[in-house]
Amino acid sequence: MIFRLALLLVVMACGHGAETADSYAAWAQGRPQEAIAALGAVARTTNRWDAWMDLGLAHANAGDAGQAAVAFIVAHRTAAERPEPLAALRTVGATPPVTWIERLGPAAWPGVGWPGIGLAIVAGLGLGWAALGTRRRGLTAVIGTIALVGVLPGQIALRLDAAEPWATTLHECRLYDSAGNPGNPLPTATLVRRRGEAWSGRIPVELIDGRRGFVPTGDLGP
Amino acid sequence: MVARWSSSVFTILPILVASIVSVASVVIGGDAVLSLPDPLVPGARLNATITVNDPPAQVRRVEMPAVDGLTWGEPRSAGFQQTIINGVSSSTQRILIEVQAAREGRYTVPAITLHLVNKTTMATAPVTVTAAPGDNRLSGNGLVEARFEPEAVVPGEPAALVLKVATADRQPIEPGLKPPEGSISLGEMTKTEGTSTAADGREWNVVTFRWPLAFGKPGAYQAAGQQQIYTNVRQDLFGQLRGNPAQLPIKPARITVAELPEQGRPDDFAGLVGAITTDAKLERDRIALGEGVGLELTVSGRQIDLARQPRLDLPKGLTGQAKQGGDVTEPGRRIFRWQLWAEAPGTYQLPVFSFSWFDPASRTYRRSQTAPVTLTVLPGRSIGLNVAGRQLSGATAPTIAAPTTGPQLPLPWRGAAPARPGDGWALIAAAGSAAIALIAGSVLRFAGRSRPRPHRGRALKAAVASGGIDAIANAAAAFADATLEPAQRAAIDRLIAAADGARFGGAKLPAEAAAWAATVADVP
Repeated sequence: MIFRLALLLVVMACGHGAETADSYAAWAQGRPQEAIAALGAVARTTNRWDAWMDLGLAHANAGDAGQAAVAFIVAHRTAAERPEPLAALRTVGATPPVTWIERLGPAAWPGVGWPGIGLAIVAGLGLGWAALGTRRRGLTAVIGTIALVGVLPGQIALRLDAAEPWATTLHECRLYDSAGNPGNPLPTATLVRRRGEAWSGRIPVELIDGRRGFVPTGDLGP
Repeated sequence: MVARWSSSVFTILPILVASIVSVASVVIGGDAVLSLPDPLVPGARLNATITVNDPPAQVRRVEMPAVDGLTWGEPRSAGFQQTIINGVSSSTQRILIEVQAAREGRYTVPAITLHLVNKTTMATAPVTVTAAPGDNRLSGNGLVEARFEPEAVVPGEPAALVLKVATADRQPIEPGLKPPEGSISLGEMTKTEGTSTAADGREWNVVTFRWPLAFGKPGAYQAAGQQQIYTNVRQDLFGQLRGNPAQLPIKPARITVAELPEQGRPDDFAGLVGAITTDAKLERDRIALGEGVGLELTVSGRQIDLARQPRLDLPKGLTGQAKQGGDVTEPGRRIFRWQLWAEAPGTYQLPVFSFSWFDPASRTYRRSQTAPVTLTVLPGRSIGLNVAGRQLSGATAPTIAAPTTGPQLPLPWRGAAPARPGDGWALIAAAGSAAIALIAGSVLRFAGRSRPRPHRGRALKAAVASGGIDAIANAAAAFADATLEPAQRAAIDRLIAAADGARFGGAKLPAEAAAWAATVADVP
């Protein structure tokens, strides 16, 4: 029974891989729009940042900058330490602000990715041993504290960046004021921050340059 | 006056009662229907059926009318069926009557009177029937015909492949051919069953298959094959039909697909064949300046997915773009949607959309176009945008670069990106390693702790009480590092000396040993 189940999973995985490979083949042949459905399914299933990146790139190659920006934003949320989603956002016309990880620069490096995991282990072992160990407790306390100090900035910046309520305009639309009067047009893939829940079919947003207003729900994603 | 009224009442009343009784005796619920084979074959004895639905009582006798040229056989019952569904009872009685026409022509069968067991009667409605020669091709075991309808089309024009299988015996039939290569299916195959009458008057079973299809390229196409039927069909012991298989050749059906005529072909012809209809409408025909409005174009017809999205040529002052996901194709129709904005108030005449299509009937190209649509843009209110935050110079939005595609975009990752730890992994790693360190420290701390020393005073007292010389020596030696009173120290020394004397000199333990031990009984 277990063997059959494993075989079924292997076959399903092979089929899934073949489907994704076919979508890339269509893309390589100049039909990126045919790849979007399969890539979207993979991105939603795996929630890997590179899958979201590929979905965004397919949208961008198909000429849909709005949906491309949406996918890049999700990729950024999934892996805020990676610079590629931000670069791709700039490519499709969005202008993301400086992120916390970018602000920290090298100081963020020890806290993100695999170095962050290593330092977190060192910090935990050091501080745990300092609490209940039998010897060299002072030394381990110092090592644990140093490791914790090293890992914290990157981790905090990572969480702050991932929690940024970024959204983008899916196509050309307008910024409305609180009375529902249309204001200046917003180009496709304009990056905004959500400022609250939708109200009367419009979402309060703040543009990167500080302007505030409302955008119709259907014009904004994700 | 009164006398005249009484005489009238006495005259009318019996007539009224008689009429009611008469009507009640004829029409008391239910209906009767006469079904005749159509056509009747002159000289052949065929079965007619009278179906009586919900009769108030069973039919006792059938009174056949005399019709010149028709000969009736003896009526015989073909069954009485009663059903109860959801408490509602219904019944049906069928009566078979042989009928034979003497010559060709039309016959009108007047009402047939049915006499019921309860002394009432029912009647069928008059029926007109035609007597004509039967199909003289229906002979032997079966007949198979295949044809295209129509037999000459143009690419994209709907046609149908029709296979008609007639068998002398009722039997299940599977089609012996299929649409030719190069045809495009326009739907599911349909199967209909019926009967036909042979020249000898026998009733044949006829099954007709129909494939709706079209052809994409000009040329000559044909469909041929072998049709399997069964002869000498009979039911076996279990009710299954058995027979001897036989193959009947199917005469090929041919269809010619001609080129679409070059003459008069419009430049925007997209291959649509058959009439199409178009309809354009706005979400609202009056909007305020600054508001957007949706424009929807619906095109209906066959193979409408061939229709191309028309170009939107808007008048000056009006801008628009295709809506995201606005191109929707549904069975039989296609919808295109745009979002429009006006840059100035006024009345705008939207462009007329037109689609060309080929009319197979007239073999010409025709065109369908939408009715004119007018959009009125009102000046709107001049209320400034409520802006918070840093002000920018100028009233327009910052210029943002248009989306770029092509070489500026990076290549896809194709799943090859290096693995990254999950978001919560660092916290889990720190907590897990801290827990491990805490557990390890606790274990080591517990394991390294010295065992509690036994109570020396009580141990010595017990050793003395037991009389064991070695035990006494060991218990006394345990007081070596103890802080004792001089008297206690002296007692211990004496006890050690006595124990040594007993162990090595063979002397007996003095009787005071218990008293010496008692002096240190409280020393832990």
